[in-house]
Amino acid sequence: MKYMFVNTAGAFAQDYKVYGFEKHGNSWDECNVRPEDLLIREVPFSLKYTAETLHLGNRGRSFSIWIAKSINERKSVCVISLKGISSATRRDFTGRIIFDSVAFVTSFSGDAVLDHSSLTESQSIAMGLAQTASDSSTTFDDFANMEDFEKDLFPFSDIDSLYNELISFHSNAGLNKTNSLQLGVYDYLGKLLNNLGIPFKAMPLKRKGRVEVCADANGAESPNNTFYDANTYLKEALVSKVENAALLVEDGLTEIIGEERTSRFFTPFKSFSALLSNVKNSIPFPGQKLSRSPDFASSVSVPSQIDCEHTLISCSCGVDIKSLEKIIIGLFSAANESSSVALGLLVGNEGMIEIVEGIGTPPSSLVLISIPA
Amino acid sequence: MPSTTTDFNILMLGSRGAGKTTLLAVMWDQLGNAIDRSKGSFQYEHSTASYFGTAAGELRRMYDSPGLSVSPGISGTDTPRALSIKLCTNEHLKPHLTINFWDYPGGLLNPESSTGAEADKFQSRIIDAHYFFVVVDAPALLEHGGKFHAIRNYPYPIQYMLHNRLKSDPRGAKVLFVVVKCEKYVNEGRSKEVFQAVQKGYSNLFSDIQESQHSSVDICLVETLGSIILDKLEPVITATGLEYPRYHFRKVSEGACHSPRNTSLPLKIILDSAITTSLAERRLSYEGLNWFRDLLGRDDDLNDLLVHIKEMATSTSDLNAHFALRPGA
Repeated sequence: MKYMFVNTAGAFAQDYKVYGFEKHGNSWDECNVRPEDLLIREVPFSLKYTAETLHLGNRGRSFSIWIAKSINERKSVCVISLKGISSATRRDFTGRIIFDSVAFVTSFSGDAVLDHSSLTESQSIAMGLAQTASDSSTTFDDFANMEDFEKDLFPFSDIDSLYNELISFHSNAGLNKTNSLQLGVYDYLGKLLNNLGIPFKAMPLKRKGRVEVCADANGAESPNNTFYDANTYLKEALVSKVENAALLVEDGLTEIIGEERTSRFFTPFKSFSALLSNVKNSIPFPGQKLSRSPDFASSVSVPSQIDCEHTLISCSCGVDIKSLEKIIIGLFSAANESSSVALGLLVGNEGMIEIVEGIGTPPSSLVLISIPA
Repeated sequence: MPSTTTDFNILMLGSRGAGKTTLLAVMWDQLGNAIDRSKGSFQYEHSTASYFGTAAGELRRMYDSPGLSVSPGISGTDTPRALSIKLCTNEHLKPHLTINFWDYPGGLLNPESSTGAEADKFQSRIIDAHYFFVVVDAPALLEHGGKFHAIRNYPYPIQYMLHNRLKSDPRGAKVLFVVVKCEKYVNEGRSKEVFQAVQKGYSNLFSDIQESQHSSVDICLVETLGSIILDKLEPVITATGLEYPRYHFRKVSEGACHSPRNTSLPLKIILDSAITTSLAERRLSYEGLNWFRDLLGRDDDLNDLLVHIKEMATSTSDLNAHFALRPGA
């Protein structure tokens, strides 16, 4: 299934609105599907995209790609979006600039997940949108009907032309053979960035939610499926309770007698508190190994070994379009060769790279790349 | 026992393009002048500073266009944002207060689009809010006999929402009407007319608040742009046959620059209420021990700050730009 979503506003609209289109043959027909509902239904691993990662109304300029694929679930989805394209000619009723955003959602199920051509087509769209994103003077104005806009109607009546223009730049690069399965997706993408001379930091991904059920035996090998045993829960709960009680007493005393006096009074207890913290930190959390601090982050010149494949790669500066194209090819190639993967790319300064895990087996690799504009 | 930092939540209500983000940006821009450094200071996260800084920059760029014409205004709020400002005093290491501004896209007030997770979150914000900012678009209220008031200011959804809060919550509701785009009327000496129009335009809410002992309502005329004024409000018929207003603004002179006025008024009202709330919460939590806290002067800095804020507001704001109704006072 292929969908296109356009977010825009008419001259007098009370708010921005998302317009959905479904592809039938070579044309796009208007549909009532909402992107968030579509993703909830189609995304494997029960991953939940947060509002920030998909919100089409984002007026900060950004370009993003999200790919999730599970051979076990026989499901894959690819989301490509370009947000915050300012209009040069359209102003709303109070004189403010109109911003346009567009997103493409392609989902496959069953045998189609194994079909390379599905990813190749999405890659072409991504390359076209990357070209559009890289040109700061780009607008969608050539495809906007001003008469419709002034009448408060959807201005892009010729949606097929807009689509054709957006993907017209695409290169014909196919999916590369990466051997990413041997290397690991993080290592492969890290090497790719190094080869392009792009400095980056790698850090364990901030995760929301918790994997509560291990759906199959294969998934249990993932470090993220480590279950708490009852003792661990008990220990953690006790340490937390003692720590919270100590903090509460300290807060209360601070309010009554002030920070300085509280500090003098509390000094002997601080060492005990530190001891408790050490005990707590020595207990492993799901997906976290004993020796690794949760806020571990390192500048790397060569890809460092990350314990789990749930990684945020944060680049420290923007990239040129040629490098961006190579990163996009790398992402799609890695997705093509992996059987269980979630990959993301965000080019821009707005939006959090964050995917919330639902109930189910998590992807064995979840790698997100963040590149500032 | 409370945390040493009190959360004070402000929910911004107003339709798209009313000027919620502009108001927040000019208020943030004035923070440095709001209180004397010896009495206290404000802290905010980098993301808050970046957001407001960008918005304040966009406001200044509205004056860059040639002649009396005006460049496009700030782009407004696309996704709900919670922006926090912390208030610190020299006598306490931790901030006393975190003032959270919940800036929501204006569309959430539109009954047609107020569904889904965002709308549910918005409803919970109504319960958690300590203060409500209702941003009122002055031209919609006053031009063409106020015929655009309903579609631009959403008085009915706002009054209904606050009516429910007033009836269900013993805390009542503290409401601040911030009238923006009011430069033209203030310059023409029509401030009283604006106050009356707000009371008439939200008459049900004023009646509700009159009956509520713990509630209050204030009206502030805040000139967020200062030297950009309404030229005309042009009615336009859309494809659906509905009549909407198109705004035309102009600079007061070719060399005009951003000169907001009375932006400290809403800030003073919030700080006053937030500090009073914080003091009350603390003293309630330490009942029985307050004699000892008073001996050590634990609340002196906050009490001093309250007096200081009142003095500052009196000296920097036009008192004719403020109307207050306090039924319980």
